[in-house]
Amino acid sequence: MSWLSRSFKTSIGQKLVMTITGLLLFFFLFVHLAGNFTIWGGEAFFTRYVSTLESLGNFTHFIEVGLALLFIVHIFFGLRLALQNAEKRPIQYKVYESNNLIDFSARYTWQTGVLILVFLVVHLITFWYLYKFGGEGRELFEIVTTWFANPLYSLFYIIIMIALGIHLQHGFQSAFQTLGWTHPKFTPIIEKLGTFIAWLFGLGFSLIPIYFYFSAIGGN
Amino acid sequence: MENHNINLTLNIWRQENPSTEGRFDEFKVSTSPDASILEMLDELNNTLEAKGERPIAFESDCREGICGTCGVVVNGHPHGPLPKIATCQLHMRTFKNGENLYIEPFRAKAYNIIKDLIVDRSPLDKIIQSGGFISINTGSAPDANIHPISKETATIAIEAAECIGCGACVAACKNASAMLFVSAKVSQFAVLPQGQLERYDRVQAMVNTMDEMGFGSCTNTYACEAECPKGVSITNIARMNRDFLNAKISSHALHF
Ligand code: HEM
Ligand code: SF4
Ligand code: FES
Repeated sequence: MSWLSRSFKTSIGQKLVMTITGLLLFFFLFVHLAGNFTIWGGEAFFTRYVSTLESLGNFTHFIEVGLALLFIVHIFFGLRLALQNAEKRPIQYKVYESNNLIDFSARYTWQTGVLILVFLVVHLITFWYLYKFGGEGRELFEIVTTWFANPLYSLFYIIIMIALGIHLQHGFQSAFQTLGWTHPKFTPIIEKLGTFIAWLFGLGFSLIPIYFYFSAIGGN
Repeated sequence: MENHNINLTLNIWRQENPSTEGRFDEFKVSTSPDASILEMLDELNNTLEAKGERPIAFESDCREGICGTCGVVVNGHPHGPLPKIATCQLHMRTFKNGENLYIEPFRAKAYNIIKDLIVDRSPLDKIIQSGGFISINTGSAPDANIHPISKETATIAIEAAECIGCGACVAACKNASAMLFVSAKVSQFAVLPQGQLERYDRVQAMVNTMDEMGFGSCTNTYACEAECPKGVSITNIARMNRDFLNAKISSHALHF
């Protein structure tokens, strides 16, 4: 075994993988949210954004493959860590209160992660797959607005965006702790930034289904 | 004399030896609010022994919060519900008359129960043995002042060195992770001039042993810091993470 594979098998090494993939995914979410917001510019503007992405050809494919890898590694390491940790206390406490002392968001990292994973699958099937391989030549704008007119779909979407917010409320500052980039000077700023980002993503992504659901039932 | 005693129902974990199954036994006690929880157990043991029954096994030594032997979990909190004290400093006035108490051993895969409330915390010693020391000759006490250090640095080292090795951080963590303990033992040397020579080997060796001993990894929930009797800070964990990463990048010791 080389020092590299040995290092990535250590507890801290595995966490570093979570951190690096997590932060890169987080950058992706920024770009994704910015892209989504072109929908506020109306159908034509949104469609132009979608076709610009497509016109990039191989570059877009390259990013897609990279993204898929990031997700796979983050999910694989995350679930493996959760399973490893689950067996570290074979006999549970009769009364266990220590976990109630900690921040709400820190208690459910793998659970919110699994929710995001379920969403990811549904999201890819209902938008990405339908658009690329649906074979009916439908515009993405139409697919998106049709789905969001469905109250169950919109509700599911919003619940997961809240879960994502909770994942990042803990995850963002946690990443800096894992890297060891903490300091009394800037850690409070990182914590506030994490909360801001959690709300930005949670609310930002939710606004779109909310808007299109209401405009659908509003009949325009 | 007036009797201010409070009446409590104790549910205490009993287990004959590491390989038998344990169970909770119930005891009704009347105790002085000024007694520490260990004194209360001493009294209970006296009555048990007088009746010819087996006393409850628990550990203690200094009974003033510095040796780290006495830890048990009281009502779901290692060292009891009050912050920044060891079990021996927990007084019965903390509890209300008629309250139900659950007293359990520290639970972790890495801690085997020896008897009742006594657990084997030697995996923590193994971690120290793998690197928690300075092997160069640093001279006698006055020689420490050869290397001037700032007040801030001294404070960080002293605060890390406050760790009494009680193992409550492991007991508190949902992953039974020993990161707070190990990071305190890494940090107390990492910030001092005398600790530099072995800095990167130390952190890698101790983290490896920590993993081998069956402790969990850190999910950064910080329950450890909230329950630590000495208030050891999770900034030590960040320092250890940083040193570990730096060691991987720059250390010449390829065997890690
Ligand atoms: C776009 C989506 C996601 C982003 C931006 C993201 C981001 C992050 C970040 C920044 C962390 C903190 C890393 C650290 O503590 O050092 C983290 C932790 C974690 N993530 Fe994600 N994540 C995402 C999706 C997922 C998914 C789909 C799962 C799947 C199951 C998941 C599971 C986990 C787990 C289990 C942890 C905690 C690891 C540990 O502390 O032991 N995440 N995530
Ligand atoms: S860090 Fe705190 S809880 Fe952990 S062993 Fe040291 S004193 Fe005990
Ligand atoms: S008996 Fe020494 S710390 Fe409690």
